[in-house]
Amino acid sequence: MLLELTDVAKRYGQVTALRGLSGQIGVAGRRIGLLGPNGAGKSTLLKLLLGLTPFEGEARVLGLDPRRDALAIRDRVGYMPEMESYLAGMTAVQLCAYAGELSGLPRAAAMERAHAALYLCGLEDKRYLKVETYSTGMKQRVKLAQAVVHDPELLFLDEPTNGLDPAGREEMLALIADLPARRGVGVILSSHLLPDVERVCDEVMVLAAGRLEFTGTIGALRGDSEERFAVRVKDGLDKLAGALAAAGLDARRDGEELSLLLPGGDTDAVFAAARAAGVQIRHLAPLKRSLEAAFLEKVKA
Amino acid sequence: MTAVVLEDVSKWYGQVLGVANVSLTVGPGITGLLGPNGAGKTTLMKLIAGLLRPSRGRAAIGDAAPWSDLAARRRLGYCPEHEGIYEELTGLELVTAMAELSGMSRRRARERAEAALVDLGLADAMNRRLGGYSKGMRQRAKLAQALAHEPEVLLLDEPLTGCDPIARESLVARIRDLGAAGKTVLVSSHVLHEVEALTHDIVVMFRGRVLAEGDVYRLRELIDEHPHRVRVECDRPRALAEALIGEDHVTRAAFEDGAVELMTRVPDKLYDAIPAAAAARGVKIRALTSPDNNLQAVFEYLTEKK
Amino acid sequence: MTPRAEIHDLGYEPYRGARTPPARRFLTVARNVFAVAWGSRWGVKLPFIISVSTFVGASVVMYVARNRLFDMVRERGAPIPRAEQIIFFAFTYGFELAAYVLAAVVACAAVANDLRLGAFQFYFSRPLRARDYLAGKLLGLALVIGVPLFTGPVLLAVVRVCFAEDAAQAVSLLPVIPRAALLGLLGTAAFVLPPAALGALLGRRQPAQALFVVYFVVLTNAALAMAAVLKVPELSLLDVGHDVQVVGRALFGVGGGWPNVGPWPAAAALAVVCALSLAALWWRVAKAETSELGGS
Repeated sequence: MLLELTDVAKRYGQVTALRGLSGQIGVAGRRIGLLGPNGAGKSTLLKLLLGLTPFEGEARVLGLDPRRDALAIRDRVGYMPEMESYLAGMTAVQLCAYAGELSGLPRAAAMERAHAALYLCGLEDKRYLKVETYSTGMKQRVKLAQAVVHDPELLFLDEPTNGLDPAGREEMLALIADLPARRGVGVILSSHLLPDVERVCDEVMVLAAGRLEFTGTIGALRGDSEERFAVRVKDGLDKLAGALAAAGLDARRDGEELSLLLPGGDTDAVFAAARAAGVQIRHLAPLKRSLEAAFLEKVKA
Repeated sequence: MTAVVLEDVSKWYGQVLGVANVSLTVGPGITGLLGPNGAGKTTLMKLIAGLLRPSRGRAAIGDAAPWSDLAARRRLGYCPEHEGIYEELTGLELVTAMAELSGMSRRRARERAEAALVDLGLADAMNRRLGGYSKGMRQRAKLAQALAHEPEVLLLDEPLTGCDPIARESLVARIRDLGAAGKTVLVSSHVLHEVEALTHDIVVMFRGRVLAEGDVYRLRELIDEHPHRVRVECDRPRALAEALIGEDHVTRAAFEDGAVELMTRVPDKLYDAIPAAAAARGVKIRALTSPDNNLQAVFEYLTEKK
Repeated sequence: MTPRAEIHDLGYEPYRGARTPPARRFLTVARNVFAVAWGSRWGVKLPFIISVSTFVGASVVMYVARNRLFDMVRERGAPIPRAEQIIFFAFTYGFELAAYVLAAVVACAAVANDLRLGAFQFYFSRPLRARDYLAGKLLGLALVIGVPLFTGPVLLAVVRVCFAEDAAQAVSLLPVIPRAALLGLLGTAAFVLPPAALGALLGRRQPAQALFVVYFVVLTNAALAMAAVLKVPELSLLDVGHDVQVVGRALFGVGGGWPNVGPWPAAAALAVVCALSLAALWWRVAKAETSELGGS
């Protein structure tokens, strides 16, 4: 279990930042997406889990109490901040080795692991350059490397793909997706880009206006159905809709695709209708709502 | 209906190349501008906005050159990527000032600014200082500033970066409305899903040049060095593959549990052949999908190091 | 026997060794301050050159100043300093100059850079408390600035004792060493705390450096001039460097140095400035501990 929360609440004076958070997180998988609009309380939650701010209720991180064992928790957690974060005048290797030492590794071990972490993050040939000379993508990788250097059991990643171009974002996501498999580390990924969360995470927690609106698998949040299908064609979507209606199937047009209910998931009728209408099917699969749509529904409710 | 026209435009900064030999016409509706970092997207936007002068060639809004013709610039709104935002001003003050600079009277500028801000959901915040705005609110203020003087051409550089999903949904809806209203909208973004939600029409910049332009799905069909993959989930994948492997355009079949992934050089033929083969062999198809038919794949294939 | 074959996974291995106790990690911060300062270019080379030449020059002058001849001249009332008083002059005109450069280059930047580059997220997501961070930074700065300002005079004092004519004189000279050490400590505090606090309050290196230089070059001289013009010597207390010198004059029995309000008021003024600086640093760092992480 990565996180256990029981009635966790946090007030700043009159303002309630978090109210009544309860849940067991990290049951189904080791990669958890933390979703929520700005101001939903994500960074407050993070702070209290690391023991940086007092709170009400009970919380456990990796079985430890943030009130009593804050330093032990922080030894076992790696944090990749969203904003720029590095030290002046240090190379990537120095920075990571320093990070390792601050998290309690002896000097020699910290230096070895700094190199390993930078290899892992794909910075092998840029290790000896100062971090301030790095591009956005490279800085992002250093932030990840310094978060894994001390061999944490749990990683908090805050908007790790911010500012990356498509190739850089793909590489970063591949790296993150690979971490649990290679290192057995739990990942909590906070991101506004829900396709990233969909790509990397097994489980999500949705925070809105200080409440935990949902915890569970991504499929459960999307409400994936086995019987509602989406169809896309090469040309003639309306022609196919007509043919389906003739076959007694109710197909709704939704932008460039049709959405229809197929009892028992039987697709034969669709192919038959397409053949009759002379239309080529390019996509036919159970309709997966986007995580984005499901999320907006949860948050606005 | 105003089109943006670029004729053989190049831009150098000293020795550094910004864009090279760009000939492009962007018509009404939304066009996505894609490319890796440093591909020249922002330079291209600034050339169109008249903030940079082409080293060679001609940029035009309708038939006027934005660099020299101020009237042409009034017809366009530019939403820059970086915030040259004045922290001390309120949202309303900023947008009013920008509208006035575009040649509106003070009163009209204020009316339009207010309307634009309310329209973008900043009614409550518009009298507060920009310094206290969140990232999503800043993006909306920047967009309001680009919209207030009712331009025909809109240039939006990374308008969705840093927005949370709620802010993004409302911005996407607003941008789609603008496209539907017949404005010429050029939107750049690093996040391909965002572009996919806006439009199928894209321009891909690569190393300072236009690498590809047009409809995403048509572009995919033009990339023939990457065989098209089609994944079929069915009850007897090997029986289905057996029937299809004889077709000479099918180059490979790979099996998973309850599915087969076929590769073809002629997707059109394969899409026709699959239902036919399934019907002939009595194979029940559960799902037919292609991992290649999205913007991410198209973008990757196009910009792959050659 | 079966031939042996093995493929090693070069991937990332878990760390199974012991971890250092959190209470000692401020030493890591201190060492980092020292290492980064040492790695920067002219900011450290120039003070190094100043310090070494001061040390060598002062040693030579002390060697010469032991000569009996000077004693005779001094007895006739000529203002020639005794050999051990050379330490005070070396401190004031050599080591302090080096410390001044180091304070401007290293101390002003120490906390300011961390604020600007978001480094507090880096520190406080790790097992480090605000007090560990601050203790580490200040210790590191004290080590950097203490090289000229503490080690310099103490070594000179040792050299003076070694130059003694006989054992009896050496013993009588021994108190020079703790006096030099005390002066070094006061100077180090004066050149570490105020500039670091300036950096912490302003949050950026350059304005902090500018203000520090303005203080030392313009404001302090203005305070001394005002003290002279208005005949209010207490105004000179505003000059931290002058306060250190006044205490130093008392320690080494060197007269003059007007406006001189005596060592105790000067030491008190110094203590007040250092305490205020420390309070400002503590306030800023403690605020950063809870506010920086996870953005606003």
